[in-house]
Amino acid sequence: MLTTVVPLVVRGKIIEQDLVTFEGRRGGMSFSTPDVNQYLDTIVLSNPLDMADLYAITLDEIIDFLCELGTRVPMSSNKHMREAYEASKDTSGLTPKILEYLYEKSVPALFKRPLLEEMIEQSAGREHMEGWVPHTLIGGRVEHVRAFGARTVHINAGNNPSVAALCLARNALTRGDAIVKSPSNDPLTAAALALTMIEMEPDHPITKHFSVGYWKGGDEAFEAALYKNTNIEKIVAWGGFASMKHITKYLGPGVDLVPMDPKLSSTIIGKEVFEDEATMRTVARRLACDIGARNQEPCTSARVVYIQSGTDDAGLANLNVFGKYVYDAMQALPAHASGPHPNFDPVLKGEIDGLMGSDWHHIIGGLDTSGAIIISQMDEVVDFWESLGCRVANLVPIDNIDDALRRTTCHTGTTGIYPESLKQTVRDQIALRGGQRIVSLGHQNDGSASGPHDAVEPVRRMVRWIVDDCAVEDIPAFCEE
Amino acid sequence: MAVIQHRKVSMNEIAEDARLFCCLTYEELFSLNPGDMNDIYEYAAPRAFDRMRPKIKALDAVAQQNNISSISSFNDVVPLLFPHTMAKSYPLSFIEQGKFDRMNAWLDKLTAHDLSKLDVSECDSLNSWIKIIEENTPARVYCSSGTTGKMSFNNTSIDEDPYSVAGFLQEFEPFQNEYGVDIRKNSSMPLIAPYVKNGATGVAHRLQRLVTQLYNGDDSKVIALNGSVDADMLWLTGKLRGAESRGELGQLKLTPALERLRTDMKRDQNSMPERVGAFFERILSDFTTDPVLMFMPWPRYYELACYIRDQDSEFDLAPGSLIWSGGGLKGVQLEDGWRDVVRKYIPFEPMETYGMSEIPGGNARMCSARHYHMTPAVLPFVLDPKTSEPLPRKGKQTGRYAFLDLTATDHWGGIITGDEVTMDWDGGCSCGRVGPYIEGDPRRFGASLGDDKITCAKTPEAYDNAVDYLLGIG
Repeated sequence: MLTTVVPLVVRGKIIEQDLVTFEGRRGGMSFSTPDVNQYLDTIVLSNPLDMADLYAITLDEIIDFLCELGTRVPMSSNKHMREAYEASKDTSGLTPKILEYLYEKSVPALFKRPLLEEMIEQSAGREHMEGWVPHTLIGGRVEHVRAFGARTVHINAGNNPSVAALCLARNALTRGDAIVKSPSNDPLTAAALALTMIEMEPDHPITKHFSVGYWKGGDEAFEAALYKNTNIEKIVAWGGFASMKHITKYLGPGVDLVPMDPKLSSTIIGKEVFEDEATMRTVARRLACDIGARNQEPCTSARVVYIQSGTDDAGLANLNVFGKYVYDAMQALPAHASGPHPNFDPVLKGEIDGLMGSDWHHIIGGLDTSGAIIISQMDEVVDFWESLGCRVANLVPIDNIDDALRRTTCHTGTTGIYPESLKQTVRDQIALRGGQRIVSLGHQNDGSASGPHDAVEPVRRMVRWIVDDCAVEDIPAFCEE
Repeated sequence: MAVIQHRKVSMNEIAEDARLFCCLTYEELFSLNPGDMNDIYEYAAPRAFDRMRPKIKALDAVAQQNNISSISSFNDVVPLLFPHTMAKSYPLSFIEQGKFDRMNAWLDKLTAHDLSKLDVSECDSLNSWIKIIEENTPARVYCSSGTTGKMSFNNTSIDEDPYSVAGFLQEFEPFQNEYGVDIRKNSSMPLIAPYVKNGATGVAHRLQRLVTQLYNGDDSKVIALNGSVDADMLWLTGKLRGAESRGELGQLKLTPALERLRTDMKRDQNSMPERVGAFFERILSDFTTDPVLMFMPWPRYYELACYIRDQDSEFDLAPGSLIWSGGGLKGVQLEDGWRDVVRKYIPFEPMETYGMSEIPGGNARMCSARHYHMTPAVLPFVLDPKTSEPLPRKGKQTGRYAFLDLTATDHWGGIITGDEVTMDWDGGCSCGRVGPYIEGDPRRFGASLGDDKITCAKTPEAYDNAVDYLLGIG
């Protein structure tokens, strides 16, 4: 286990004393970090007027700042990000090569001007973020609407360093004040970004409105004080039931939860895949990306894949061949995108081992950490589908597309679809059944940072929509005699 | 049938038939020379494979898959060990859709007894299927309801019972300064066990085996909770749990028969506190003069202690009695200081054991140094959790616990468990037992990632065994 000191960064100040130690479990990181309870008064921004400095700068100046930050973030030239990368290596489900790509390329890419502009335009829009936008209503009433930043606690996910970067970028663009609770499986990335900003421009408003700390979820003494509606307005929470459970008791009037709650994905492949071998191989390659990219760690990854092969012997024979193509394509993914899982789930391994020799499952791979394609030999998902990960996917033969659609639920985030024509047919049904993102096969793990996420528009949800309401009459009509 | 007693056996005899380990005293069992044990393992393990491969179709399939035709050293048996998940490797739909011919075909691969000729065409429930098996073959099937709603089916046979019971009882004998009772010589001692006595659970099966083997069929010697939890009830319990853990209880569709069963089970569950209270009252009043055997899960000991305290009563357990427990807290949350309450009101410290349903013959007993010593009749391994390769058999190794139960004759005794252990291979435990031992408590793989490890992909909630405890089945 790695033991390190994770600094507490509060409004541009670095704190490394009053340390408490958090032991990592099962090979996880042990680290020491300042006890946030000692610094509660400085962590919270109890006077909302302290946000005024963010409005003394323009959106262009904010973007300029972020672009400059982006040039300093690649870990090859940033010792803090390098340290975060080194720490992640021990506990991540991503291989060192994948992590290296994320820290060197993916994280900096979030700070490029075209993307930042797109994040604004696809959400609240520049006009609303920079000023009061008049909206004329019935009868000539005018509402001037402006998007204001919010004092927000961010409970970030730790399975990808890009989450911390996205959090920073969105907070900056929306002129928010962020108090970031780092996850225990990535306690350093957000802090590294904060330290980089301090080195760049310690007194810049964006630097001073991005604080990063760690406390254990459920630390009631701290959380009860932090989550008061006089201290914060919003909570952006990634993560599962356990982390949400800690938070929900603090919700009430004045505190808005923006959940990035976990999902499982689905994939539907139509019979067109079996047109010829070339098509099978192409589709297999696309599916391999959806399973294997970033080692199936993202919730968008393909896990259960419904394929319209038919459930008769001929269909199963085709499906088994296709499964081999998928497995081979997954092994051939470039090392910076995918690789044998460094912390293969022992419970999942046990489940796969239990199926070896099964008459009802054809397994390709699964003997080591390289992943597996489990091909059901009947129209049934494996009973342990919720445990699928580490580059293990279940291909399920179906006769009709409806057999896949009826399994879409509110827990289905992303559905990858092939062929493209099928998307038009099924997307409304998927949406009605609870699915949230329908995507071309191959791009399940390649979502945009600008559009809706988990059925919400994050940036629009992160701001407070304020109205300057200009009525026409002196008094309302219903108050007239 | 009388339980197998101690007798003189040679190492050669034991090498040929590992079931004869149970003829040794516990003292002898844990004084065996490690070098001799190694020789026995090297001799017996390959022969176990040769003997069992023709009998167990699943073992044959695994051997073929691994291109193994014979083994020369006991480490070579590792690729042939069954994962513990094998016991639930059937598709759930077989039960849900009543395809008992397929369930039968599945289980047929895991037992030495031929189930393929059984007519299960009229079976409409797990109970009716298991009844056909047990009425027509020596095979015996017992179940655990497991997490996420999927049952495991383990099998043994009545032919294995005499040795498995003897092995089980051997574990409680005295060892040097450690208290114990030679139960085989004291078979008049009744057994008090607040579990449901009858049915398809592992505990119920153990109780039934003790009635047959130790008590010569005298059912009155086992004082347990009345009632029965059969396989269908266990399956329904698992289904309800699984639905509850996924927040889908309201969407569960049950047949009228299963709804009735659910109502019966609910009534039984609701009456459990009263039944347990009556049971405690009986223990405190009827079993104070003569020594008894008693075992229950730790939360039940705590309940008993609280009962004694609240009734302002006393527990006059006769000298010569033996009480034990195992399995931890079963997922039940107890107040801080619960152990002190147990110590105060239960006159003897319960012996702690570690075992699993896959080893009918024995548990590992906790010694005076608070380590676990497994019977040498079970050949232990510690595997690398990532590669499943055996870790070196020296020093302290932490990994996945696996074993080959050399006494199994009607099922394959080779299992890779779901437990993580730290094994001290060099032995030399201060308790005086010879041989390797498990240091401290075993842990379950796949326990919570920890509150704060946040990923955005959904992970299944670990579901506790509190319901087992509440239902009196584990």
